Amino acid sequence: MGKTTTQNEGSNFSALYRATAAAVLVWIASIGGFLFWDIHVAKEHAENLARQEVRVRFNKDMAFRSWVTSHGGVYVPVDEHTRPNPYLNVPERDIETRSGKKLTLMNPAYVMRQVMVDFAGQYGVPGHLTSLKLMNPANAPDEWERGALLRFEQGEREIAEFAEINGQPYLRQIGAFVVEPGCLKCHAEQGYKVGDVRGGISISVPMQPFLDNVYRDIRKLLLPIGAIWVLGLALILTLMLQVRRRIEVQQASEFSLRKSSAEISRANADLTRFADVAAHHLMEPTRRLSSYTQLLERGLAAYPEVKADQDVQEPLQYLQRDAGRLRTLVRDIQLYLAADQPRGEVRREDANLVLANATQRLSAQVQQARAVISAEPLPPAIIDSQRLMDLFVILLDNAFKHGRPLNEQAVPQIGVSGERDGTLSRYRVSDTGPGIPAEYRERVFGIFETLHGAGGGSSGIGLAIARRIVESRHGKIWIEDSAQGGTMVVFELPDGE
Amino acid sequence: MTTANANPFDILLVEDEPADANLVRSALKESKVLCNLHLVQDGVDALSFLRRLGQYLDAPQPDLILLDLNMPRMNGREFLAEVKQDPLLSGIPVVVLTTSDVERDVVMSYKLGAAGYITKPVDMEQFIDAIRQLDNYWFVVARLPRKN
Repeated sequence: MGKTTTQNEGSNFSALYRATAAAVLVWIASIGGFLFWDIHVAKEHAENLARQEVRVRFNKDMAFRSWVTSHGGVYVPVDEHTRPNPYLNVPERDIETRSGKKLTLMNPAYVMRQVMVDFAGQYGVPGHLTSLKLMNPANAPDEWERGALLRFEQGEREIAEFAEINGQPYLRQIGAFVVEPGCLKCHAEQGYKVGDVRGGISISVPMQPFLDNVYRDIRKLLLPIGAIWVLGLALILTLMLQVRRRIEVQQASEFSLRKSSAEISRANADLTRFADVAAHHLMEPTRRLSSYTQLLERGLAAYPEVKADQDVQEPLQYLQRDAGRLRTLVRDIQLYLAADQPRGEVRREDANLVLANATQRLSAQVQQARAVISAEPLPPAIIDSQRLMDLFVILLDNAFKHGRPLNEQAVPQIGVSGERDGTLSRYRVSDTGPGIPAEYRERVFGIFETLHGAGGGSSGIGLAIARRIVESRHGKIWIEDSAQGGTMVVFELPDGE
Repeated sequence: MTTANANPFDILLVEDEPADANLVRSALKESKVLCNLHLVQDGVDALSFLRRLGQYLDAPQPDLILLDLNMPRMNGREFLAEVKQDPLLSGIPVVVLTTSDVERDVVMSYKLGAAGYITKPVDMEQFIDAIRQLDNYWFVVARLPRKN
């Protein structure tokens, strides 16, 4: 048993450990998932911000550029910083005002470049004008821009992508410049027509500041989330330890309960065994006492004058009576001790059949008592037929002996009935005798209890045996008032073990 | 221990309790069964008797064995098993004397080859009846061919 207990403990704890490990995993996964999701959302938010910014700048560039283009370029005073554009070959590129001020025509690309370079600080992120057909080599596209320009030739008009420049992350956007009438003033000689893609204006917003924001936010989150994570883990582990302690306590008490219950049943078995052996050994001399008393009486037949002597006759009678009584007592003890063990197969027994057999076995007593037994149909019972028979024999025999009506002329009526009630069968044996006062109804189930003193051939163990039989089947037996005013013994036999 | 008589029937009683042996003798006397009753104390002695060993050199082969089940040394069950395994002895009917109608003992006895059983007397009348029936059955009805 000790071994089984150890195995039970092992398996109980391993289930607990498995549950704990699962809880820890779920906890880690949910915190991790939350963090991951949060980073994802923050990044997306940062990217949207970047996209918005790049779009605003791009639109501003485009507006500005469109404005210059719509005027076919703008004339500005020539100075050290703003020289005529040597790549621009159009008539009236350089003109002079009447007062002799020199003006030169700035084409859109030139304007944009100058704005971006001169006011880079305020302008912020520099834009970049580029084309596959360059007029100014300084505007040559980089690798990403070249790819985008080629895609414009396939019909795309605007491309925004995250790409790296010198190993740094950027959001880059490039929009196509479509040739408008104003463009042809300068670019007609390159063979462009209105509607052709002239080139692209690209803007690159460095992502690092945005990402830095994201990372800073996440770093701020890490501490509280880490604390929650650790707290959760601690909670799970504490809970596990508490459950384990509770299981240990429960197992300890179960173990001691099992142990003491095993000890009790062992002690009970020992006691029963002792009583059994004692009764068995008592039976031998008891039997001989009885036999030899009879032999003595037979022997005395040869000496009639001795046998007739009162001093011989009386002791002999008492000897005989008590030898008989002793034998009955020992036999009843043996029957009582054996009553909790089935004799034969425990199965569904037809109680009507068993009752009929019991009545037949008692036919001599039935006749002697001039009793009428009326039996109603009985439900079947789960028990061995031998002991069900014993039950009926004991109860009927009791009814014959103690259920005689007070009116000597009346015919003793013994009724047997029964019914099913859920998973048990209930039986009643009633008589029309004087009944048993309520205060004695429990006592008569005790060993050697009889309400009528010694004699009558019964040792008073019948009802004790009946109770032992019924209780060994986890049933109940008790006494009620009979409808006819006598005693009614009720017993219930459940179906289960 | 031998009741010499004209009747040639020999009964071997295997019984360790003199009081019970005496009861059997009384019952035989009462029932007017004419026989020689031989008494041995236990299974070992009974086997010596049957095999004519030691003090039993001149022992006759019994027509019937009355056997008590509970004895010291070799108990009734062991003795019964031994007798039924011996081809020279297995033909002798064995009637078991039991103290109670313990079904287990009865079934076991029949399984081991007992020819019948008698419950030890609690009531002398019953016992004498049983012995008388034994007489009728084994010495009249089921009379065995006599071996010399």
